[in-house]
Amino acid sequence: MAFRTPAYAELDWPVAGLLADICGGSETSPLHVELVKEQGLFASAEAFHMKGLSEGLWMVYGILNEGRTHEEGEAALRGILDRCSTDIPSEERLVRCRNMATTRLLFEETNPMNRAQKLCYYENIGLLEHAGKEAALLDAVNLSHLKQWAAEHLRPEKSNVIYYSPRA
Amino acid sequence: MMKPDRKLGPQGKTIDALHFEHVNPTGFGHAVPLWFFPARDCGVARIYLYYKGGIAHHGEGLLHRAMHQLMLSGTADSPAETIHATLESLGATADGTADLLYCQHTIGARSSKLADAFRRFLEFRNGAVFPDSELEVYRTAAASELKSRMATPRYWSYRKLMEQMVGSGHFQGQFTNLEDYAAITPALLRTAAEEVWNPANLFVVICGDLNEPQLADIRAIWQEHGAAFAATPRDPKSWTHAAHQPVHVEHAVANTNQVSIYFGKSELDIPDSGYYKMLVLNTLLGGFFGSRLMQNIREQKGLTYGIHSSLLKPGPHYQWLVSSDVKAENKALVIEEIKREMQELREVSVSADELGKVQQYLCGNIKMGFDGIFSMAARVRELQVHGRDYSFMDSALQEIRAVSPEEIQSLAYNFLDPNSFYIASAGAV
Repeated sequence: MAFRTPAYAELDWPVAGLLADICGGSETSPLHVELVKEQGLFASAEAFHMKGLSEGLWMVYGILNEGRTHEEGEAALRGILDRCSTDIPSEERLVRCRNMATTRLLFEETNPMNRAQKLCYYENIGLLEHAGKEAALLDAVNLSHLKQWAAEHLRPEKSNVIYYSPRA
Repeated sequence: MMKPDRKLGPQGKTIDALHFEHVNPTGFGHAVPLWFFPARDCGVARIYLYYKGGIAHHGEGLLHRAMHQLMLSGTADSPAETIHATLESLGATADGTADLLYCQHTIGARSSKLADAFRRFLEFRNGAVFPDSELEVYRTAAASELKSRMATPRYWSYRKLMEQMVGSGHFQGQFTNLEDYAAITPALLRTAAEEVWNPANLFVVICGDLNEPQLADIRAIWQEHGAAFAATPRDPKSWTHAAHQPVHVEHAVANTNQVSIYFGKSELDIPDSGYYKMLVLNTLLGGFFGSRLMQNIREQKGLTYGIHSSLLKPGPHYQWLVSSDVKAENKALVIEEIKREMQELREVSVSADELGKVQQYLCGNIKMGFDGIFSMAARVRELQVHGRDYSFMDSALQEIRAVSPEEIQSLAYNFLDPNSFYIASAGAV
C-alpha cells in the first residue's frame, strides 16, 4: 500500500520518516507486534518512507501467512494506518525512533561517499544550507506533526494498493 | 599474440598508495583480543564481536543463523519488546549474523551510549531463553522467505551447482528445506549459544569516536558480564568434498521463462601470495562492468542484464563462480560464450591497455574498501578468519600493478579450462 508524499524540498520528510519508523520500522512497532506476532496475519510487515526529488512514497506492506486473504491483510494494514492519526504516535515511541534516526544520521556521515552524495543532493534541490541540519529537523518533530501528517496523507482515498500472488 | 580491438572498460585514475593504520590487538579481557580503531568527532562507535567458528566450523547452518538472529528475543525477565525498546531508547542497534567462516554481533550507538548499550546487550545475551513464541515467529518468517527464494531459478542453479560440485558432505552443499525449521528448539538454540561463546573463539574490533574513559567503561563491562563462557570450545566438524568429474546439471523450475546459469570450480589450490594475480584475472573475466563477460554477453550481444564472476575463499581453498540469468532460448548461446571467453584468455594475451584499466579499477576498488573508520572491522575480520597478517593488505596494490599479460595468460591456462567447470542451469530448461 503506497501513498504519494511531498517533494524532498518541502522538508516534511522528517515527519514522514519518523511516522514510518513508529508505525512499522522495528520489532517494537505496531505492525510487527500486532499483525505479525499477535495476530499471525503476516510473516513480516514493514513501513518506510522513500524520499524523492519530486514526489516521494510512503509505503507499508505485509507478506501474508498461508490461509490468510489479501482482503484481511489490507483491512489490518488500514486499521494500523487509521490509528497513526490517533493513538499510535506516543511520546515514548517518538523519542525512541528519533534516537534511532539521529544515530543513523551520524553513522551515515562517517562514510565520505555518503557525505559527498548528500551534499550533491542538497545542492541539486537548491537547499545546500540544510546539509548537516537533519538532526535539528528531526528534533523539531512533535506528536501533533505526526498525527496531522497521518490524517492528511494516509487517507484511504489516497492509497494505491497492490495484491501480489506468485504462482505456486 | 594480442587482440587489439577488445572493447575496454572505463578509464580510471591511478591510485598510488593504500594508507591505513597497523593497529595491533590488545587484551580486551578474558583472554579475548581487541583491535581498537579510533576516530575523531564522528560521535558514534561500534563494537564488533566476532566468533571465528562459522558454519564451516559448527555445521548446522540453520541452527546458527536462527541462534544469532534470536539472541535478543527474550530472557526470563524481559520479553523481546522490552529488549528492543531498551536498545532503541539508547538509539542503539544490535544485529547478529552467521556466515560460513565467522559469526558476528555488532552493537552500534552514539559514543556516549555505547557502553550502556553493550552492557544491556551482554545481559540480554547471557540470559537468552529463546522463547517458543519468538521461535515460532522466526520459523514462519524464515520459511516464508525460503519459499519465495525456492520459486526462483537463481536459488536452484546455485543449490544444484553446490550439491554437485562440493557434495552433501561439505558445508556448502548443505541446504535448508522447509521442514527443517520444525527441528529447531529453544534447548538446541541455548546449547549453540553456549558453544560459540568461548575466548578461544572470539575476537573483538571496536571502531569509532571513543575517548579513554569510554573505552575503559566498555572493558569493565566486558570483565563483569562477558565471562559466561563454555568450558571447552566445540571441535571443528570434519567435512568431505565430492570427488568426481565436472558435469552439467539441469533443474526445472515452474512458471518462468528464464534460466539461471552457474559455472563453478572448487578446491583451487592458490597460495595467498598468488591471490592478487588471480583477482586480476577474475576481474578481467567477469569481476566488473568493463569485464569481458559483461562487455560481450550484455553490452554487445544483449543476452543478459548482468553476468558476474567471483573468486571466493569459503575455507582453506579458493572457489571460482560465474553466474548469469538469461532468457530460456539464450541459455545454450550464453554457456558457449562463457566458455569461449575463458578459452580466449588461455590462448590470447591480454593487451597492456586492457590490463592497465583492470589494474586501475581493482586498485581503486580495494582502496574504497578502506573508506571510513568502520570498514576496518571487516578488514581485520578477513585477516583473522583466513589467518593472515597486515602484509597481505600492504602488498595489494603493488602486486596488482606488477601482474604482466604473460602471467595472466599462464594463470588462465592453468585455471580457466572451461571443461574443468561444473555447470548448473535452472528454470525453463
